[in-house]
Amino acid sequence: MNYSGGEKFTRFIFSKRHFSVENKTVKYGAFMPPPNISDLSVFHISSLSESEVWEIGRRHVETEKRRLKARADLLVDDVYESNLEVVPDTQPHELHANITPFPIDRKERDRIARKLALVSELVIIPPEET
Amino acid sequence: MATLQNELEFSRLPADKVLFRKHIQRELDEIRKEVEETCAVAEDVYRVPESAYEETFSFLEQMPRDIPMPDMMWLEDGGIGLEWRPGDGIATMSLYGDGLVVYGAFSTKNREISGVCPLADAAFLPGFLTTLTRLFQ
Repeated sequence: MNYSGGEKFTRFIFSKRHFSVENKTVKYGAFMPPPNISDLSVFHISSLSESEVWEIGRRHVETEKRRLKARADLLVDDVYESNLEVVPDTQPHELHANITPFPIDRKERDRIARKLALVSELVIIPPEET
Repeated sequence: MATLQNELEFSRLPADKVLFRKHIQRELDEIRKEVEETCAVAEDVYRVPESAYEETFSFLEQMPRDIPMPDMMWLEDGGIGLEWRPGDGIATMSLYGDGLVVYGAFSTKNREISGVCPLADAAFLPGFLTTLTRLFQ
């Protein structure tokens, strides 16, 4: 299944070093998967409200020991421009997908991560309602 | 932040490299701590080898003074990442502790360079750093 142009995806971010609040930018490290993994985990969020997006992150992505800090929103068009696909992968959630295939070559991985970082939009996690 | 920037600019003066070295070391220590904490709870994240911290320290210590201090980060594939945001573009260097550096720069005007070269390469790396310097002018 291919997603249509304009569809919006997000990548959840765990490290404060992978974004800049001051510059409102996402760092390329947020888009670098481990070396032997060719998939980059994202969620399809076009139909969701802000609170619904964060609810998915809090319920299905973060753990007690690994807390979410922010997310990087991007359009599927930007992924396609890097000659990658977005493939649905309904675990751990029906809106989960993978950007794939991330190349093995380090130079190419960096190149894609740089482009995705440049075009993505940073969204900081809001305080949790009590 | 302005104070930190002033501190760094001051520290790039030859008369005071100690402060600059301390800043780099503090950043790397923080990254090392975060990597250790992350690796303890996330199976697929690679631990950054000690040699990558050493290479990063060595590179930043010798970096030309007209290049601003980059943002430093750890990478899930076991590297240390350096990132600059000159104007509307992005430039990065990734170090993995194997003597190689993965470098690249991209601007929204679709001008792009990228490559891999030995850290000690006297030809390629200075070329990239010169490009980086120009991006900030």
